[in-house]
Amino acid sequence: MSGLRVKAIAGNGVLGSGFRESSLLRGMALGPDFIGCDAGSTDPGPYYLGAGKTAFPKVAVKRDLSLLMKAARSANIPLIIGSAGTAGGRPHVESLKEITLEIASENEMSFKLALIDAEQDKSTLTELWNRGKITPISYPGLDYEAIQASERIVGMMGADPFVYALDQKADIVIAGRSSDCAIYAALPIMRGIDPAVAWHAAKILECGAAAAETRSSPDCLFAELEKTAFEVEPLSGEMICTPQSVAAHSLYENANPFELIEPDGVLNIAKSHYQAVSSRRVRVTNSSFKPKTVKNAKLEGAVFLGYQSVIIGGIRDPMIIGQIDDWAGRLKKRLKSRVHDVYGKDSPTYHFNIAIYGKDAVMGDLEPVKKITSHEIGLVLEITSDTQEISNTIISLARHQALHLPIPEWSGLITGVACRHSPPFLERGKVYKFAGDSLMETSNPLDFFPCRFVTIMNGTEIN
Amino acid sequence: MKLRDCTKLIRSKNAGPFVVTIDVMFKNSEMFNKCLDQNILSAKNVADIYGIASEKIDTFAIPLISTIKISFPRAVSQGDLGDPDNHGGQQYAPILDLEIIDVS
Repeated sequence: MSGLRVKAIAGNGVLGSGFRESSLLRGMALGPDFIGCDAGSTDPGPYYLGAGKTAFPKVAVKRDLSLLMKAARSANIPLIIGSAGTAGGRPHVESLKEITLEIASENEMSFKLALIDAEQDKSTLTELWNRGKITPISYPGLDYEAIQASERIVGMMGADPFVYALDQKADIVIAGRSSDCAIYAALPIMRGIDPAVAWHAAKILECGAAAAETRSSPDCLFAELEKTAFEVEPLSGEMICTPQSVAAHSLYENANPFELIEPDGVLNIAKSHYQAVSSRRVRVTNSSFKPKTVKNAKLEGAVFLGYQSVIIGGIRDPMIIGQIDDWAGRLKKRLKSRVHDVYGKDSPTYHFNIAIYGKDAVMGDLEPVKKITSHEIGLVLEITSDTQEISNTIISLARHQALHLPIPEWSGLITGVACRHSPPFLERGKVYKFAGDSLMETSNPLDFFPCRFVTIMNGTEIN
Repeated sequence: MKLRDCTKLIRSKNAGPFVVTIDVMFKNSEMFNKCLDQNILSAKNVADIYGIASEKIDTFAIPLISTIKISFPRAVSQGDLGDPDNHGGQQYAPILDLEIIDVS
């Protein structure tokens, strides 16, 4: 093989989930052109986007980041991180920047840091909505009302903002919400790799060693891209990639296994060819990529729902279990009346959900099994309202009503729920939901994903 | 033969916050083809099992890896009040015991 070649290391699938230092070292010996790592996802749920918090603990993120930074700086190659801090909003990028500076300071490192913003201001989005530049994907999608209702909205960037940062000679790029693949596609595209190869290799790299046959633990993955093909292999000696394992990876967390929709275009892998070139390395050819005529970015928003309090308990009495649906209905009715007794005409609104483990708590309406065969059931009672105090108050009322809710089979006072804790309820704090999916037109992506640069000299920020 | 006995992996997972996707990965192409021939995982069958409209269900057959993929919109979006499964990870169980007739 000769000619154009780009070599990439993926740290792992999520920064902070860990990888073996020996795997990274093995990859560094292969002369990589860059290291990438994804640091976020919607997978942990809407809370992180809404509350501006991160899902992985700081020490775990710092451990991974520190090894990746040292490796990248010592080889003088870019380190590219996308979807910073789980959700990729401003507080998330800021939190990863702080960890980066901490590591830089402890190790007296010098580099140019690029920070790419993905958070979208509501006023801009409202204007774009009014101009018809935002199109809902799901129903109702992230529409005018959802824009107003969202606590925070991020756009998912494609390759352009990364390309810009690398063009400006950034050594480390920390980007807000990004397409997982854009992290890995940007540099190869800059160097002239065919976009189909760049995006498909990126799709395999984005989950780290997940494309290996049996991923015993999160780890690094290595890819070598040529103009019209790429090869991929795991960096742990204990793992192997096979044509099947690499092909199967495109299934994961993806609704359509043949077409992958990216901000820059659509990758089609229906006719991709996977060939083993060694017992652990796979060569991929024949993918195609159709650029979008107008680039766009998926919007993700988190809508604040209220404060939640929950009680965990269980029921063992077969007569209560036998009438559990009716029991739950009676409990809801009694609670409503009790809330009215306590608050009078100023009764707050609240949402009361009863999850019944052993019946349908895991699948809800999708559960095809209607009959309970278990000798005990678990209960999670959830109250959501406008304030934590109201939720705490109403969950306390719910506990007392649930505890002593009569059933016709028994006469006299019963205690029908085993509560797990004292105090019986847990404060869950703020809860959120995702606003619907929409696509925002981004004819010039850099306008929506601005990049700023920070120079670090011997561990100190100098501008 | 039950679906769980002729597959190496059956899993479900979110495909974004609004869609759940199920991967049914067969042990070999023979059983994969039998499942397809017998229409075991047709949109209609899956719709009947989960109690959702069949037009909401997308199914894909991927012969290269002897896999059938099924995707459908979530009844409750990820993390919304009443969502039972934040990661969508336990939504595959009702198809495990579907019977494939093992005739050659």
